Amino acid sequence: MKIIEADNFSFRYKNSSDETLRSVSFEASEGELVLVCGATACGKTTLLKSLKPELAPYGEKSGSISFCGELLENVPESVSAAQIGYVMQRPENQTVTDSVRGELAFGGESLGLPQNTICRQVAEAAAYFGLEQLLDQKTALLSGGQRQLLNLASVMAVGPRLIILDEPTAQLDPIAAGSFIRTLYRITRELAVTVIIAEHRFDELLPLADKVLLLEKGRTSVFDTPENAAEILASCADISPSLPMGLRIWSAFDELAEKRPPLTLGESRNMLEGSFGRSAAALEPKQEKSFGETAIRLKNVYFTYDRAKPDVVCGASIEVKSGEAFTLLGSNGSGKSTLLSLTAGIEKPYRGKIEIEGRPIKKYSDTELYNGLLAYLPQDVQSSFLRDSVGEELGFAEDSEIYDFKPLYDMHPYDLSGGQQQLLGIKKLLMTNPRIILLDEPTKGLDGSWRNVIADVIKSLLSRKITVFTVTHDTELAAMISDRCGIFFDGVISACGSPEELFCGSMFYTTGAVKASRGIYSGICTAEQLLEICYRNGLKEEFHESNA
Amino acid sequence: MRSFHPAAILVFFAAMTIPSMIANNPVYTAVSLIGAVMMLLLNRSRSGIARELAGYFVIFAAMSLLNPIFVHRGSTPLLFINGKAVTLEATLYGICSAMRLVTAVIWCRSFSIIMTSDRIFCLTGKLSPKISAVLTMTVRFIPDMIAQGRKISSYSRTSGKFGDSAYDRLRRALSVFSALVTWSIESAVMTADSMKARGFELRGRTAYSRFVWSAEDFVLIALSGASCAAAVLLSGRFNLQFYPSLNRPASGTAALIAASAAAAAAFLFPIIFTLIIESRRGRRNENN
Repeated sequence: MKIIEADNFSFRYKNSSDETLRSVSFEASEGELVLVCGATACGKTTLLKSLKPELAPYGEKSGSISFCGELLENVPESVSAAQIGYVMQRPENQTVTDSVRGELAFGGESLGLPQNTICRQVAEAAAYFGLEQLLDQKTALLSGGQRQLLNLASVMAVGPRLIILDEPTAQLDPIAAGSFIRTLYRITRELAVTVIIAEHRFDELLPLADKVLLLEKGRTSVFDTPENAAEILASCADISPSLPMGLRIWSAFDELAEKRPPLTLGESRNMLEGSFGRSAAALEPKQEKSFGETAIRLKNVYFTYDRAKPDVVCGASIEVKSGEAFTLLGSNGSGKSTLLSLTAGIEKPYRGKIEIEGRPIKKYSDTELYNGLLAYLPQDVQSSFLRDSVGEELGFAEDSEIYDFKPLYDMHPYDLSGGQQQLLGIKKLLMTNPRIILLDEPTKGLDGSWRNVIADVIKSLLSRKITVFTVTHDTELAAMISDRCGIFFDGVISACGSPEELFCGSMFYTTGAVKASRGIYSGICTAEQLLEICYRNGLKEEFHESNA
Repeated sequence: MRSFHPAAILVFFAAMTIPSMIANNPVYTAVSLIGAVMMLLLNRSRSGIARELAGYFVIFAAMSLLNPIFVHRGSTPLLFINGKAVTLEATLYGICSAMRLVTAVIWCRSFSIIMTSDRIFCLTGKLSPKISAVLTMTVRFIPDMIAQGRKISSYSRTSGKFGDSAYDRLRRALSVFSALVTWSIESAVMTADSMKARGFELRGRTAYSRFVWSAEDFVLIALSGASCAAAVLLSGRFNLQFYPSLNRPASGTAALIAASAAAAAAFLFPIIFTLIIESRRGRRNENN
């Protein structure tokens, strides 16, 4: 049965001259997983909201959307509230009540269901999503991943047939995001719930999706199975940097077009092994860069937020040279952000030394430290916006360094896209002309093409001899920008080394390029390097013969 | 205590706290104090309990000392400080009223431990499910807002835009506040969307609570009501008069003792009842 069907649906916002959506058509049957993708501002959110009557934007519509064979306008409110679920980006803003139990019951209460029914719904949802242990927990104490799982569970509690998700994993770390996506897949297969999701985690989603809908400027570029859509996806400049490694190589070589596009890691490795030569096993090692004096020095630093709890940082030491790009990796909750805020002078260690340019951080006044020496960008970049417009944030500066914000000066910083917000944050840091920049998770929630933009910006900072200390769990970013990486685990920094040393030796904590090329080529850790070595080796001869 | 229905809990604590504050009889207050402390010990986690009890004792000691120092009424001087009399009556009154205050505080403390937000929402939900929903939203929003305020504040310190002067610090506090307001509005809009999507605007909302009524709840309410009524009815007979001199009530000493004992006994019933149920809690684990 068709659960949702859009037929030539077009939409124009009231005060806008252009249509945001133009004749979009697609459909999804029971238990299908449909991946909606497209660049920033391609109309994804507008489309997803149009599928949910309670959230549908106001404006001019044409064409039709029907749910279970009924036009969406005619679907009773109680039916759409129960049967069409909607999950958004920021987990914390979607939880309505203060306790996990209350949150799971909220949907049933709204529908006016009797006690017994709600009780059963809460019990089922808690059991299915593994939330039983957390029932009495306050929602404010949950991690981002747990909170987003709770949002999904509380939408699922009332028994929907369709779930719409708008970038649900953008604020989650890779591990939590992966498990969230697998849960989604589970509900499509085990419960035949239809899922429509806008996401850019193609690595995880492409092999699982039944259909892919690509929107470009509000039009359907393609609506097909991932396999058939692969070519068009790869040719879209905004999408291709987010695609799995194998697919990017597949699309870079026309000769491979006849072969099945590799969607999983195994398929990618088979393709590399089967189709490419092995004459050049590695690229030339990068030139050793030389750096200046020590810019940041941490020695045996200990810190805890709560005396009753174990130390978050216990005995961490690191030296970062002037002009160096050092990246600290680590899982969520490992305390790497804490380490960065210690380095930024926001928190104070109870033991150990922190020196900035050879002088203990305690000896600096705030004015000395934060005006021209050190600048810090917090993880939640929105918390760095103190003014009501982009122009005010930047003091109406005339330059267009990093990004040209002049056309956006009247906008509120919150209304920028995620990538623009990060760039605005970085640009604000530069206003004090710092010699050291600390970045906390600068690519959180961004897709591959924005990651490239951020990486380029960081490289431009490095070329100006600025020291950049980044903490992130984005291994791809770390591989692109770092001179040296370390892993923060168990309160200490360990395994420092070049990205090649670190990633090529790691099994889990590594990049897509390493996973695809391990054992085939050595010393490859970025997409650029992998493409380069594929070009150098070229395709095996059989391809040239068959194409000739 | 936690196994009772929130309404029964509310009635019980009201019946314990209100007479303890009104009744001016040391026997009655002492009984109430013992009950309050036992209830606290049973319901509070072990960590830091000694410190908390010590805190109550400090309040008790301070209150009992302050009254005779500042109040010089009474007819039996004990000693003179700066020519002012410290009287026996004022000292006794100080001790009694301090004990009353501390008793009420300890009852309220147990109440606040047991009456978790879901219990409060169970009660408000009976009145109006919508009000209950709004209350729980507020309770959920506050910790998030505090966390966000901290984040914005710590960033603003490093932004380099504000110096160390008092004026700059004020300016910084103001811009943190305004940023926090903007953030609150923004996230409230998203929460509203999430609520709308889940049917908050539909008519006929119900309130879910996992608390069920049982016979014990009604017994507790009846006992609490009876004990409260006994305290009110007997108060005329057993309230002590302290000034100008410690006076026997008109009804005579025997009647005073009888009234005190009756009130204390009535008062003890609901406490004993809950203590029996409470002490059975978790006993099976020990046997197995």
